[in-house]
Amino acid sequence: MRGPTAMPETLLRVSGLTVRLRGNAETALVRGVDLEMSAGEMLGLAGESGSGKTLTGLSMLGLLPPALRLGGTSSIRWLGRELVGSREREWRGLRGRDIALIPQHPMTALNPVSTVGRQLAHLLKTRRGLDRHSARAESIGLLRRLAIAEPEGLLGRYPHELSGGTCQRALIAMALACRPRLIIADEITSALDVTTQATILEQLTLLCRETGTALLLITHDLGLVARSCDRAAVMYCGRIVEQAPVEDLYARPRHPYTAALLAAVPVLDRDVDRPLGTIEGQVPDPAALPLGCAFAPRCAQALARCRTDDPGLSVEADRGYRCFAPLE
Amino acid sequence: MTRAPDLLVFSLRKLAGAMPLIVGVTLISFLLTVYFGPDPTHALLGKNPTAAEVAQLSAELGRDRSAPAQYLDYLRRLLTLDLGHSMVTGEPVRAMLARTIPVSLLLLLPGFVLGTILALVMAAVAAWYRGGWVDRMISGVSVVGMSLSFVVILIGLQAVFGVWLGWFPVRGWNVTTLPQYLHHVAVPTLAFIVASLGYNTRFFRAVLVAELNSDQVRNARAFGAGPVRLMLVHVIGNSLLPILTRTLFSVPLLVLSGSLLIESHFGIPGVGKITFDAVMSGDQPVLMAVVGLSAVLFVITVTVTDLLCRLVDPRLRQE
Amino acid sequence: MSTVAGRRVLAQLIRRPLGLLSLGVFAAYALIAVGVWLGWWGSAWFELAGPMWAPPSPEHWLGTNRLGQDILMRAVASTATAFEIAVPVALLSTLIGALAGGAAGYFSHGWLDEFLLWLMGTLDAIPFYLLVVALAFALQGHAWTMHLAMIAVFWTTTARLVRAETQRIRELPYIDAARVSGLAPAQIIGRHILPNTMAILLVQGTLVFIAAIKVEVVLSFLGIGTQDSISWGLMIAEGAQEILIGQYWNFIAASLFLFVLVMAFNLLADQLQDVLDPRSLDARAHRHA
Repeated sequence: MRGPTAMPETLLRVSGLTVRLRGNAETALVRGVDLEMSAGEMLGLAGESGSGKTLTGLSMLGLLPPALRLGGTSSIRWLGRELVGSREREWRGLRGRDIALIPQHPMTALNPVSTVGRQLAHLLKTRRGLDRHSARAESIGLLRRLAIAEPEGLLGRYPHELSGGTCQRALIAMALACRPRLIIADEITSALDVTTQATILEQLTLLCRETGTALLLITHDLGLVARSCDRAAVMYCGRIVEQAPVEDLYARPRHPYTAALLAAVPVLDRDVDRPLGTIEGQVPDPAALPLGCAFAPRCAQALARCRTDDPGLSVEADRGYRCFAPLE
Repeated sequence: MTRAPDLLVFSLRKLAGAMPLIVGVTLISFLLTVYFGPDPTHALLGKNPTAAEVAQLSAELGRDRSAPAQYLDYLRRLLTLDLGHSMVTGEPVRAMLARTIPVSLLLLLPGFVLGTILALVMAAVAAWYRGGWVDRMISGVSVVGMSLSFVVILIGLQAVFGVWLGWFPVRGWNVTTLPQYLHHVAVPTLAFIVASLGYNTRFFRAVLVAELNSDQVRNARAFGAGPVRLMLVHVIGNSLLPILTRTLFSVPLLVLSGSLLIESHFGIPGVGKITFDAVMSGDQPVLMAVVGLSAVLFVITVTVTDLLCRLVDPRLRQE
Repeated sequence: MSTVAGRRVLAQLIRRPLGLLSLGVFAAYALIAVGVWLGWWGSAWFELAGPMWAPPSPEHWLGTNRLGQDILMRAVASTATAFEIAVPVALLSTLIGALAGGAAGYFSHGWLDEFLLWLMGTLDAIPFYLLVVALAFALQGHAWTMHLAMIAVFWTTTARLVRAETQRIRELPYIDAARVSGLAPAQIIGRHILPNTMAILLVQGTLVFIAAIKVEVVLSFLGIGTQDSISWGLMIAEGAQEILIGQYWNFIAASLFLFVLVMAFNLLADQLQDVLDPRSLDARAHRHA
């Protein structure tokens, strides 16, 4: 789906990714996700809670909860190497080295009995082979670039002494400290207040662009994707329903669900008089998905066909969508 | 890091806070061993004492005074370690304790330490493979261990290793050299390990599983932490509070309950043995000292536990 | 808990293999105990029924002891003794724990609460067997010494759990409604709070039952437990001497009877906890080995 001119290296190619409950062949929480990420690319993965976006991200690290498993069709290739079915050891070689995760809940993600400085230094020592002294200098540098006013002081602090925003910055610093090629940021701002959200995301994307790190931004907020990503993928009920360059997606959404999500983003509404959109109905239970398109019961455009057949992928220049009745 | 003066202030404050507990515990031991206990006057005087003799001894023993006065006197004697003499042997109680406490410690310590460590290791293995067959096997063994009475474990091991195989002595405590010590301590130590595997494995496993499912552990895995670091630093490092509390709180219980049983059964001259003998012979001064001092031991344990918890968990350090 | 809820718990227990097994074992022991009380069997445990040290045979399934008493019959009679101790201890300490915990939780941070907390802390601070020994010393062979000592110690854990639960329930809106409608605290605790702690009481009752049986064995073994009767603890005490001369049956019989019952109860407590509250398996305090 990329343009033919620039051809950066493909880092990650996910295809047919399926996540199922263990011991339940019927229910799938992720249903055949295809994704590709090139070096340095910023991809936003958006969707409501329960859409499978976090599970998609965790699958890429081999970190699915024990109750879940990958379906048989799943393939995750990192630099061409198949990861599905690899041993825990191989995954470990990837985590915190090639791929880093910035987790959802900053306040509980750090080790409570160790200082920020020790946690950062451990990564710098083991991943980058720095000695104690240069690890400290590097930590201070990283935190300073994340606009921490007094990085020296922060190093000696324990996580419970910090605000959510500071914890999140420490976690971003930890992710960057590993010098990964891909960072998966899972709802990193949802626990923070709005102003902090904006600045943290700005700092993160800036640093990623500077270092050429690819970023997979998982969020429920299409507004955030618009501000920071190159490309956006919208997930609904375990499936990517539309994927496009950010400008195209916002200017001309093809899938009715994307349009509905966009209508729910206040910042992007040009017409101030128009009320904020809400999506009628509820996200269906993954154990009882409707026949045909999963969005059909909530869709104003739905045709009779949408309720019986599963819409396949329609590819159009550098974008794709799954809909029988795309918007113009 | 906490500085030494802080620690001192903290422990003093803790001890002050434990005053009601000290009063409660000593009050109960006073009531049971002195106030409601059998009157030693007649036992001491033998048959047909005269009224004057009874009155004189009562006054000597302080039994003619009011209950509060007797209690205060009891407290004073406990605090100054003025513990009197055994009514049976006439030996000073302090000397008896000095003679028996080291024996009990030598007897109990290896089993306590090994049992706790082994239980922790088993729990860590079970927790790591939670839900799998290894976990189910360890949990099964632990329920069996929990269902075995300590008495049964003790006698069963004695029967197998002492009588049947003849490897270890069946009773007594004839210890002057290290090989003799190891020889005598083997069966009690094994018994403690079996009992600990029953009770502690289960508890430790539950604690470790809860921590393994925590956010910070998942995050550490996402950063590529290996199993050893994950278990030691992230899981056990964050479960030290319940582990320490449970382990340390079991010390006073273990020292007396454990030694009472083992020593009276194997005929080992420790604190448990003299306590048991004191009950059987109505030797009030000995019992009074043991009950009172074990209460003090408990309060000290509580304080030490609090202190250690503060050391291992920074979240408890802020006030 | 209403009888309907009680029946539902029972139905769920029976559906689990381990639940059914443990309930079955318990029922078998209860039947043995009832049979002893009704004089169906085991009442001749003290009779000299055969030669001394007889090996297992059709007349004496588990052999005889050094006086020629039938070991099986003694183990059977001991079942009744175990129930005579464990049932009242479990019932009374659960009742006391519920009342004290309910009162402390309802009036939390009042003087009653502070007093009860102090009492619990004090009782928990004295090593258990030492407390029993001291009580035995003070009461000098009174028939209920053992019961009293166990109840004095076992009620505290229940009370702590009920207290915490009461503090939680007290903040619920329907308690305010009950208060506004003019119910006295005792009525609110009795009618609206304690019935909602039934899950805790049931599990705690089971755990105390186990603890009482195990403690009886230890105390009888030490010679300060059961008097003028027969119990597994007394049999094990006999057995401990007999083992030295190679006679194992007394010890084996009593240990097995004891082990199977305690094991069944441990499993039952697990299953109960699972059925009543899937969250907090293992959150319980086992202090009395």
